[in-house]
Amino acid sequence: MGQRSSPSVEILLNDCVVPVENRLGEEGQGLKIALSALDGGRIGIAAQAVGLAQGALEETVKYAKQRKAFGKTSASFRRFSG
Amino acid sequence: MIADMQTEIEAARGLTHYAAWLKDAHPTKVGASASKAKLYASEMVNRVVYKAGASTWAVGYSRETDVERMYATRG
Repeated sequence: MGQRSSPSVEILLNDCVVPVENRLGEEGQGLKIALSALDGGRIGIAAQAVGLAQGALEETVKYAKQRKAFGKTSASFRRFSG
Repeated sequence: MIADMQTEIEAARGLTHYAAWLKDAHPTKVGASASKAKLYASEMVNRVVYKAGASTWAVGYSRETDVERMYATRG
């Protein structure tokens, strides 16, 4: 949910030679670096979940203030606001 | 209903901010907190968007609303 703006894609590297001076991090630390990137990713997923939930809440409040039932807005019913 | 939604959003926001702060302050110790924030927030958003649809007496699930778009993983 809410991840349309964060697509996952496959990357293929064929015969890809990277000179040592372009290496990121130290030799043998690749897995550790990749896993720490996932930690950052989890914060991003959490943040977009919070943003989506906030948007849904704001839509609900907007609807509740505008929708009328039995001559009152639905925001004024206790079930809704309580 | 709205109080439930607000409470859960605030809890998730707090966990997320804490994990983000930890990543800056102590980058090697962020693992568990990032996982907790992701776990709680991604479960929370399903509950909140479900309630957003339900609290509009199912109008929220019809195609033209923003809540329906959120619920249908179309972001």
